[in-house]
Amino acid sequence: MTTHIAFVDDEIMIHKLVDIRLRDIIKEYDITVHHFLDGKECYNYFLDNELEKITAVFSDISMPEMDGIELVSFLRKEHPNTLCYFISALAESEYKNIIGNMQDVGVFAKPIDFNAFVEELHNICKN
Amino acid sequence: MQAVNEYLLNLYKSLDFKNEKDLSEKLNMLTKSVCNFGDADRASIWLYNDKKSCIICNSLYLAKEDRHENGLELCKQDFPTYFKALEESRIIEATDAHTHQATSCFSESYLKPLGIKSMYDTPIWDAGEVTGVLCLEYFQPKTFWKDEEKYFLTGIADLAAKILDKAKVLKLLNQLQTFNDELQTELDERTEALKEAQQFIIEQDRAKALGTLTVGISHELKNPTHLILNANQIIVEHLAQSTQTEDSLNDMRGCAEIIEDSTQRIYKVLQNMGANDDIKKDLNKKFSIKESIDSAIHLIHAPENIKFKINDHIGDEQLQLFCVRGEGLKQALMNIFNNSCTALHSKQNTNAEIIISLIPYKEFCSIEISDNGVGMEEMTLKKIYDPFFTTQNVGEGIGLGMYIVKDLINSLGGKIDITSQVDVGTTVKIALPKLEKLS
Repeated sequence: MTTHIAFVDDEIMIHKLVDIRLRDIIKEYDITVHHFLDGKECYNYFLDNELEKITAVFSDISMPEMDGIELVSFLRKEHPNTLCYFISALAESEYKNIIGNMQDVGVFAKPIDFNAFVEELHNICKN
Repeated sequence: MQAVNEYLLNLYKSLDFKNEKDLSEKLNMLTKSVCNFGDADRASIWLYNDKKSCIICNSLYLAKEDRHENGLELCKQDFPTYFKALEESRIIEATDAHTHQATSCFSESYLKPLGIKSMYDTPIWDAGEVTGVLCLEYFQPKTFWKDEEKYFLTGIADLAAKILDKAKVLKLLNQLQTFNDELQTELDERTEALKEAQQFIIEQDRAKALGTLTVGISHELKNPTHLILNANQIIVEHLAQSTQTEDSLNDMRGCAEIIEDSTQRIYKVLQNMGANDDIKKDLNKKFSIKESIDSAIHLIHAPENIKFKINDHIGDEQLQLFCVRGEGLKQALMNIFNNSCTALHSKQNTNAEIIISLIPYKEFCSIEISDNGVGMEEMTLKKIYDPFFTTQNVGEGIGLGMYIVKDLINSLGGKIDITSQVDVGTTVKIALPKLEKLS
């Protein structure tokens, strides 16, 4: 069964990097990566594709139209089973301030530790 | 009489004073002179208090002891007949002070204890009212006063009025000076406080701007740096493998592209900032306003559908006379024109135009650049000069354009103001002061 994940970042090149680095695990687990350049695009995808469930969303925090906080807040409310992760270049103290009391949200710091990232994907796909 | 006049004249001359504080000294001089001239035992000048209820002795000369006293007070309610006489008489000539209608009220309490037999009082008049009294007292009965004595005493009373009048003016001037000094001190203190507050605000603004700039630079450089690190990590991992597959080679090519793209972005940020400084420093060449505009239009390579229209109010020939030093204005105009082009492109306007209006006045010149593009919302307008603020996508604009424009215009001593309306367009007004002549 295909596992759908979403990668949300306004940095185009990071999407290319993700595709390169995840190529092996994508093949291994039949993963489809949905790429979005803004929180709003991902939000709209969820509104338009009720049936196709995305298992996990990896999102940048600072984005122009809809930021990661707003997107994850929406997902927490409307899609509580979707796993959410922030990928941020902010320092730990900064993103902790921004994230506040959000529960069950993972965080990957930039530059991304792809080994840890792939490991997390392994866990998601196994479960 | 001539001797009296000469005496009076000398007194007039000696009684000039510049400070209200010298009044008591002058009054003392006056009472001593009067006492000596009139051969009296006591001579005094009394002045009404503010309520006009009492007279207070300002100077009393005691001839026998050759000394002065002051401070005694006589009130109207205790001696009504005397005060009535003061108001109604030019002089009170009491040869027998104990029986005289005006002075008999003093007999028990004042005259007997002091041994006074005769009194000669001259009310002091000023501006239509009695302000005090000049009083001569004698321990021996005095049967009459000669005309020249009366003339002298009246003259002294008038002189006293003038001295008191001058003292009042000096007092007022003194109060005004004090008030003025206090105001000046307060003004100085407030000016100083305002200067400190202004300096504080400037420092805060500088710190804020520096903070914003630092955060902006950090953010702008961090993202491509992270991409380079991640891409490099992938290349290193692939190179660690003994053989390279077609896929791994493609991955490395992709990573190399990411590294190149990211490096270019970092370079662009640094170049933009460095170039701005270079432009500000290079002020040797002079460029006319018109030349700067034409050059900026030429260099931005605007899409063909965008029309530039220049409205000048004085004609090309005169416009050539106004110039600026360095290429700052040209660079600023290029950034503004580029923004206008983006705004026009976003609107996909069929009648896309950028209108440039030049309004020179004396040595000043105002340049207005208007476009009929998408315009801006208020929030965007507020942040327009913030470094690294951009409405464009990542990689399309780094958000330094208007920050640089403001910096360049400020370095030319000018001011910039932007107004905008969503879906209508944007107008940038640049006011340039003290332009030089080209020649």
